[in-house]
Amino acid sequence: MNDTLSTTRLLMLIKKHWDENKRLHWLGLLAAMGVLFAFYLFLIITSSYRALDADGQAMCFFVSLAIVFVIYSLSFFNVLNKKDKATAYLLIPASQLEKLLCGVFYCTILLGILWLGVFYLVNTSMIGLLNKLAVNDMEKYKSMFVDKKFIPKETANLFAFKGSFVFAMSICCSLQAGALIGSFYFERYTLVKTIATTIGVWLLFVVIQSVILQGAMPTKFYLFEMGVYKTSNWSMDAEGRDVYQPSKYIFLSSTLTSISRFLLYYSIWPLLTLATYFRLKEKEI
Amino acid sequence: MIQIQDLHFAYNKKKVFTGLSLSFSPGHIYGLLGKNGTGKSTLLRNICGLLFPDKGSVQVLGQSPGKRKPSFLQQIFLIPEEFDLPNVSVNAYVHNNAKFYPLFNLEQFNHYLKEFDIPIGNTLLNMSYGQKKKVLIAFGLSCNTKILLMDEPTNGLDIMSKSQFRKVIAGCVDENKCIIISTHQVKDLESLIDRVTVIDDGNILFDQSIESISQKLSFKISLDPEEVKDALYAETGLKGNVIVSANTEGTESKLDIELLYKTIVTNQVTVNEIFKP
Repeated sequence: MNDTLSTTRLLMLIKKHWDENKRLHWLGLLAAMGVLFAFYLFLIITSSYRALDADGQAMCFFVSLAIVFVIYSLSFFNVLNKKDKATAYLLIPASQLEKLLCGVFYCTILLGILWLGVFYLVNTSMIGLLNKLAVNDMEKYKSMFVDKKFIPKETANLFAFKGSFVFAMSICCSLQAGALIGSFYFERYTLVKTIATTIGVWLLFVVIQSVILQGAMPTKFYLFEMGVYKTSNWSMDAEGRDVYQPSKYIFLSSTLTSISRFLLYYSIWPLLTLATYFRLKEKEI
Repeated sequence: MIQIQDLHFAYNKKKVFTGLSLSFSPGHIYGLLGKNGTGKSTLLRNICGLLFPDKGSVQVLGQSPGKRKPSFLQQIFLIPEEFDLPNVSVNAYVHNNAKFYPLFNLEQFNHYLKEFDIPIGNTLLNMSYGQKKKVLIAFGLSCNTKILLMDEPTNGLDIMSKSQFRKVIAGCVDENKCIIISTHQVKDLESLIDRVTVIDDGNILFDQSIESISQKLSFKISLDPEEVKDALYAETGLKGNVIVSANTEGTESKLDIELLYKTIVTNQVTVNEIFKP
């Protein structure tokens, strides 16, 4: 018998989880969809048309995805902080890896796909509504649009953002993995404590960057983007006036930059998920 | 089947076990008795792998329970004192959970539910605590695991349910199965267990078979003041004094577990002297 990973057991675990929680999942998804609808309505009512251009829509998707990822992940393993639920869960004859993969399936894969569907549904219908309203608006106040032509918004293709899509997804998945392990560590006030810890870790990175890396750079150079440091375009002359000058750049080695980018994009999620696996293994009730 | 050697366990700084050694064999129903907070539940949780020993070893079916391997977990079932059942119908619960236990028997499960008077189509959410517990007990028994651990199984059961419970448990024991029932309600295990293990402050106070107890101790009502005075334990009742004394006459008397427990707790040294080989 394979005690580490069996697809049959994993599928049984996934089905069991679905059957026991499907009502909660659908209600949660509908509630989140309602919130997204309300947010779009708010943008339309406040006439923030520009907020719904392609970049704005992508921003809406990734921020909402990060929020649903975090909220759902925080609740997934939080059951392990309740003695009765944890006892039942830990004694299910499935390996810890299968239990973790079941969590990853629900918290990342299924939720990601469902949220993509929900987003396209809300986004398409609300952009359609926005376009109708905007055209009517333009007809009504024709005189105000003498020189302007209303350009209907198009629904954004999230996958067309290439590098940004991968980067945004990696941030969402990293936050999700952080929330998953946070639900293990913090029995009470899980959300607040997880957010506080995430901010703490982020500040640590900021400190490392500003103290160690920045300290190694010549003065007046600051971090422009990963692997690139530059000077400001503006400096002050002897009389206190701002003077424009071309920037100077320092490029870190491409290998170092590539490694850093790879670690930032792809290492946080697996590392945190691995840590969750070990926490699951050593969980005692 | 279960070998516990020099088990040390503590919750933070509160020590529960300091060198406990014990073994459980198949074919028996063990009664794990003791006051509240003496470590009965902790012992069961160490056996099924929910807690890990600080020192010493716990070997169950040749495996280390703490690894919680599927091959191990499908041979052991714990009915905890505090349990959680999902908000689904009994059928759905069985459908989703039985697949994890290769020896699960649906006919057996339906039979136990019938014995417990539980309607099958009901949703677990609409059931009372006692009914839920009976569903869990029926499920646990039907899984036919080699080891069945029960932590205060009669808590929350009414008088009729307790006798149903005794009947069901008595009918399910076989030579390959080991059932350990932990309780502080000793009366509920009357005529059910075949070995008594008493734990107090993380130590084994007493560990003997029912047969041996019946041979070496005598439980009777006495009106003789001398006999009462010499008894290991005496309690005044309506018909006279109920006493527990060393069985010197060789006649077996009906075992009263509650009296036995009180005797062990109040007179541990003398009782263990009697049982010395």
